[in-house]
Amino acid sequence: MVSKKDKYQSGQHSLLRQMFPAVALSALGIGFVSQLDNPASQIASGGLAIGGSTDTTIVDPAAVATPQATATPAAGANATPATAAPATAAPAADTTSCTGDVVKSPPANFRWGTIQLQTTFTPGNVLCDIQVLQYPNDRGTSISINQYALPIYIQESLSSHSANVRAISGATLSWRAYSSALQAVLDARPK
Amino acid sequence: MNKRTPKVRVLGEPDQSRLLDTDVGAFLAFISVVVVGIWAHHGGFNNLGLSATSTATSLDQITGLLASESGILGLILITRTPLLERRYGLDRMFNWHRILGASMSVFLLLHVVFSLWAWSTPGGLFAAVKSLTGGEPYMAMASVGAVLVGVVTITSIRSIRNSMTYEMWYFIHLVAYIGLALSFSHQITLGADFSTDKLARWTWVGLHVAVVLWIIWSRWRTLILSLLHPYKVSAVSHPAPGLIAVTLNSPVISRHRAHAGQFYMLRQLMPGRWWKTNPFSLSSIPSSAGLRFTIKSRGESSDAMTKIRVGTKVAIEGPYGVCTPEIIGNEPVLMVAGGVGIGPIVSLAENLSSHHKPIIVYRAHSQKEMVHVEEIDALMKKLGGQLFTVIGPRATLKVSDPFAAEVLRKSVPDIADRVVIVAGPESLIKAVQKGARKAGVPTDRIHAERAWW
Repeated sequence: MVSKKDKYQSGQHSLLRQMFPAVALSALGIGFVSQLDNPASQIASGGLAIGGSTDTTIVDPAAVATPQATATPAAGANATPATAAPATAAPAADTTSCTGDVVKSPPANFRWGTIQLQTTFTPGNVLCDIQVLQYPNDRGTSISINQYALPIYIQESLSSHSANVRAISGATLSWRAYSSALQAVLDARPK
Repeated sequence: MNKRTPKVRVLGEPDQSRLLDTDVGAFLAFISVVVVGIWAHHGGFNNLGLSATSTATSLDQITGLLASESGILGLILITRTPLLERRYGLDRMFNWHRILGASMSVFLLLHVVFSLWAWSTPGGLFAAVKSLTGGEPYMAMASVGAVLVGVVTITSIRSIRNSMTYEMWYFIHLVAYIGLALSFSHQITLGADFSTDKLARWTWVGLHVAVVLWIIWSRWRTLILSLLHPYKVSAVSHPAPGLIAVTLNSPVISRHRAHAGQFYMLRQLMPGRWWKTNPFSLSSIPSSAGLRFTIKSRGESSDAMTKIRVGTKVAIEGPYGVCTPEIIGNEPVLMVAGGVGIGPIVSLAENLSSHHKPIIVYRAHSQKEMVHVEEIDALMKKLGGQLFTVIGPRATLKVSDPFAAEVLRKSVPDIADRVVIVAGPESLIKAVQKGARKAGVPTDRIHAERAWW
């Protein structure tokens, strides 16, 4: 006599009954994940570099989107993080004008994309200009957050001459990427 | 004595759970796919091994998510939902709850470490601590939550836990739920997985709301109902020194459904006791004559129970446990009882018939401590079964291990064909499980009932 109870206890179930929940939930799970926003794939398809920080970074001109961004100097020149481009060979007498080394930061990758900076130093080795070479610009949210926050971070860095700036609410990840990019440049500078 | 209803009727059986092991597996896989999927889809894998900061960020996200997942699964277990309870038993669910709690603590610790690491670029560790304890939105709350979970984790370490009363530990441990609640906002506002992805955010919120509603419905409702409709002590007897048999009854008991071998959480409704609840096993077949529990004086709370008087109101939650006649089916059975483990064994034995060819082994420290022996003797005579007793401290026994495989095989030659049920203290359960396995009983036919005194 196998009652319904015994059946549930002894595990005699049709394969269908055993498989159905697994199949249904797998489908639901995969469907769910595929519907999520995916910054990673968008960045990849957008052609932005998402390699390691020691990669040779070829800056995508399309990514240099800030209006104030200057023309990219010698694309592909960066083999190591923070390589000084010998921009002005002749040392000027004036050590405070913003005409010294131009240094590209390593690309700082984060959840929403990549931030890369181009910094300029005075001949006296003081940080005097920061341009944004690339920032996450594939999503409206990213664009608005970064266009708002990055100038503020830059302003603060230029006045304090450091990468240690205060984070802005809602732009924390950009803040971290920005700070680490700038810090990498500053760390590589001769003291 | 309570006035007896003319006809004593055995109570109906609780419904069987429709859940299968494969269903539970599928659900676990599903929730893990969702959690890891959110992280991976947002670039979690890509960010590993980029810069130190993005690696740390990625790790702090996945550890945070996994801590939450452990928390949610732990919360599902405390709903005591019959779906899981009727299949796995509350004792096992409590054990899983404990394991999930421990893994949540580990993930939380890693989450805190990785967050500090990620935030300490570029400002240094001090700046990281500052922004993570207040600078960032809702992080003050989350920090308090993490501290609360930390406190609970420390008090749950065995040596520390043993130094306090169960109730004290229990109420401290409830603080972990406040900790979980406090940590929720920062996941939504600061966690990059949820703050920017609408679908992920609402799924996450929905999951938490569903679990909270489930707890209210399944846990709080039964708690409130048990308080509103308490049972009353209808009879008290003393079968042996230090032991008390308490019978609980209620006017509506005929609608109650329970199996022999199950246990209840009992709460005496009197000043100073109402907030304490303890598990006790049925010691007779549950019927309209009442629910009988045989209780040994052991520890503060069971002492309180041994002084209980007729007429005391007792709130009951249950029945729980899966060590029921269902696991025996129509198979021959060997039951091993240690000490008060005899209670659930008797209630199970009362359900047997002669084709179970029951053999009961009763292990006790002294003759005095033994209870219900005449009852079992009479039952075994009726069913053509046998009762073996193993009495005395271990040193005085003829064999060093009464549950070694050879000994079991000698006294129960057909042991390999039997379902084995053991109830009693942990050491006895371990010994019997080991001996029976060695004697050829498949593991899935050995069932253990932890001692609920």
